[in-house]
Amino acid sequence: MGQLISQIVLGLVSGALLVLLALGLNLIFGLLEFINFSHGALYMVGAYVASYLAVATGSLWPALLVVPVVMALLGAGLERTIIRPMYGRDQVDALLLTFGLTYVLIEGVRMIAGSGGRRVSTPELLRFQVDLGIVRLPAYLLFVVVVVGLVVAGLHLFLRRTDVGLIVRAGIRDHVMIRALGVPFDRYRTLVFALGVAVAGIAGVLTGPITGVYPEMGADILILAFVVVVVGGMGSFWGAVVAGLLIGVVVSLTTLYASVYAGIVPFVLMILVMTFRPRGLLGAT
Amino acid sequence: MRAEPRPLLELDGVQAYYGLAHVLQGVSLTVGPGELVALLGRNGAGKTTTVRSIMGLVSVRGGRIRCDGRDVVGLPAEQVARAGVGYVPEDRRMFPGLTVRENFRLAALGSRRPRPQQQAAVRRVLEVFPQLEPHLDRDASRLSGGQQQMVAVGRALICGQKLLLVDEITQGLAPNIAADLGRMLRRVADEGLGVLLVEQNSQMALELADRVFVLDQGVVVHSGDAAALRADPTWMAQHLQL
Amino acid sequence: MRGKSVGVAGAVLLLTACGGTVAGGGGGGGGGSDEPVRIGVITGLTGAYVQLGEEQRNGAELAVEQLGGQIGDRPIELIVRDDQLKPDVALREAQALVQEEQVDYLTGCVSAATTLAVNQIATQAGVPYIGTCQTEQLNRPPNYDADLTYHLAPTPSQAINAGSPFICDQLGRSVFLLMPDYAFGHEQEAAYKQAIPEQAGCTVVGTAYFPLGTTDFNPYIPTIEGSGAEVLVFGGAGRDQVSFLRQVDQFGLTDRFRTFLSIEDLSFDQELGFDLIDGTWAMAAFYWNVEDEGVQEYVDAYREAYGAPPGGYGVYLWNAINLIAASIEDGAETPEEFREFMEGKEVSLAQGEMTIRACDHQALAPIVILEGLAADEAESRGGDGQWGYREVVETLPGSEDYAPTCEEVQTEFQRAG
Repeated sequence: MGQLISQIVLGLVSGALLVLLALGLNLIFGLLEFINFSHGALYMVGAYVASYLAVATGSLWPALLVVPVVMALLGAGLERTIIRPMYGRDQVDALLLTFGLTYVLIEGVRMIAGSGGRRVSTPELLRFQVDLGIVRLPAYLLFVVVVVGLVVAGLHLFLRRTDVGLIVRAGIRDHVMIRALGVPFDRYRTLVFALGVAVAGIAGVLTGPITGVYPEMGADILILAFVVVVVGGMGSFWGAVVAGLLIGVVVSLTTLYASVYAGIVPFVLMILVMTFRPRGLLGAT
Repeated sequence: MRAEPRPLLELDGVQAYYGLAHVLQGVSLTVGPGELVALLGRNGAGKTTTVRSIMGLVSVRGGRIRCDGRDVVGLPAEQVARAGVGYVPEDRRMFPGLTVRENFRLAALGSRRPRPQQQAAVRRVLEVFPQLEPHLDRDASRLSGGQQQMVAVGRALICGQKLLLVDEITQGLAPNIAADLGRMLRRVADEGLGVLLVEQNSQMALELADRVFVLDQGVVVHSGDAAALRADPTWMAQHLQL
Repeated sequence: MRGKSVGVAGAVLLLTACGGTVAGGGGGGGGGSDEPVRIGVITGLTGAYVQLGEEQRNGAELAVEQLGGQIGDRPIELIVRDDQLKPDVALREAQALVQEEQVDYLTGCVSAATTLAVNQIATQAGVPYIGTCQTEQLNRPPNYDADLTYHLAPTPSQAINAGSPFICDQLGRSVFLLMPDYAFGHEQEAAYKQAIPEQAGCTVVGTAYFPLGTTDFNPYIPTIEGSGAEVLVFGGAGRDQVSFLRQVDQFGLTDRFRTFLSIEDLSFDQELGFDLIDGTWAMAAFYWNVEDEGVQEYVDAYREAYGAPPGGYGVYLWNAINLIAASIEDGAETPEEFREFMEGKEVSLAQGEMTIRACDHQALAPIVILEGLAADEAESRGGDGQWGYREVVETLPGSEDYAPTCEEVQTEFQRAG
């Protein structure tokens, strides 16, 4: 029983980072109506920026503030230049474009930083474990969970309580009608893309001390984040949160009972959801 | 007959396509201030496309469209809206998950007026539709059809201060509710706004309207003064028993 | 209206399946005594073991450069291809090297999954193949071709038979195995489960598998903690190992378990950060501060060429190319003559004293046990403040004691027909 609970707790912790990536992906998908294939690569770029900042400043803390800003600017720049021409075209065009962008980013990072990975140290302050009774957790992972919680709460408040958030929520539902009400929608597309990329950047910063950073780090996790989006419901905010945590827990439990199948379980879950609940767990009908 | 110093809306030989289908083949019409103009015609005649071309939602390949004197062909919808055009789309298009209040807030944001004026506009809409007051914090997409239609008109009133484009407002509504909405549109026109009303219910439209345009296969086949046409049973029979 | 389609979703999954880059170039032509010697290298230049693949490329290029780009009068043409760690890609690239580039020799691999694919093409085409990654299967039926297949890396069981006494005597008598879920991991599990119980009082108390490319080891922590083991043996390499060591360190497991790595490579250590090596042990077929003349010559040349000491995988390629060169200088032109040259060969190259035994073409070379040290301890114990804090605590010379005997191999071949 104790092991079961620790397994679930650790699954939730693993799911937290997935939630962050899925939220950004989902936000962009909701408003811009295409799957940002480069989301994983942008997450990787965020992690690299953090690793250089951490070396330059001797600490990971500045990166946590600077990287989201840098990534938001990068996101806004990308949206204004290469993404914008894709609007109104087939969704596959944007998918292919961001697919290309992914490899440009990965190869670009390889050219600048080499194929080998870079290390990011766990902040000195968080190099201890917290005994939660049934499970001992690294303080750093608890910190990650807290940051993810803050980002989720922040995004939620932003979407629920601000005018811009209202426009974004409306735009996710119907971007034609919102224009017809006089709202200059393109500006909000830039903003949402920048926001999604910034959130991916935060995920990148947080991942550094857990796995290190390397050029391909975004590839596998993008697929998982995508599975989370589908399972939770495309465009659904809380769907991404719930599905991210759920997949974390399901993988964790599978690892306990049949570790060999842990890798495919998220995909099985996705197939089940697409078959029996195509809109996702919390997707709109 | 009303005076028409300068039309609020002026379509001149508008051509538009849906894919390869040549839907509008030179539509011309005008709507003046304080005037309610009905656009009639059978299904597929091009009525909705006319409204959508005005809003910039269909690309116009020829002709001119002026809103309050401003050429709007090629402008994105938000800029047409900002020229003072309120749009009530065919299927209401509530944003699922958004409350009535949020729908109005959106329209107020879109109007880009100073905040006090935005609030005043919302208050005014609630005076027109007091029955929405108790539902302000409910999901608008879950209200009844009539209530949704009121929200849609309310939104359009908040952002469109000069001209309302109203597409099939009575579709699927109970006759008494449809009549209420019709009277409300008449009142809006009487207060000085221009209203272009696309309507299947020709009888009702004819009773509300100042002038009437009849579309068939993408061209205006008939137009005239509503009062005169109401008095002409043969015209009624000829053009409206479609 | 909106058109969110799940069709796009499918396209994403499809697209991810065809990522990756292809490196390499090439020439063409036939054979002959002043014709180029064409050597095809297939290794993982993308994927989880990219550092190993790059090391292999470096090792091969260094060897060619040191040979002056030629063997006798024959220029060396080195053609390097990326297998992305995928057997199907390895098949395709091997096919291309054999058919289009008409290579005379094939070598390279960092994953057991791809080496069999390359070997298959090589044996079909009659081209010698020198395997350079740890696997039991390459020189066993049905893969082994006595005329063409060679294996320079140790088999997992060779390394594990050599290392198990150390694990049990020095680290602890109850062992938990955490293994990658592919051939290499399964082979290791089998070898440990045989070798560990052979040590008095030593047992394997639990095993778990993780998929190749795992970044999140959280779910394995409770199982490891609940196993009651004293020693945690990790069988993964590359990024898996980096992520694993980072996470067990965060969980404080390295303080409570003796962590032993089945496979060590300097490149992993570098990516990990040397501070996290402290308090771990590892096993390797090569380490840059092994005291041996051949090893040190290679290390010096490698450092001069690439500015850093070599990891453990480039050495196989360096050795492979030097063996090919030596055979050609010895007059071996055909695969048959190469076989004659290789069988029973005793050489001292960059892995130290090595024998390539005749019965299965398996190299018998030293295995070293390494202890990870804290930075301040490292320099005083033969490490290096810049390049890694591992001390060689034991060297086990290449020996038939750690491998099945040739008799056993023969029986196995006969059973397989």
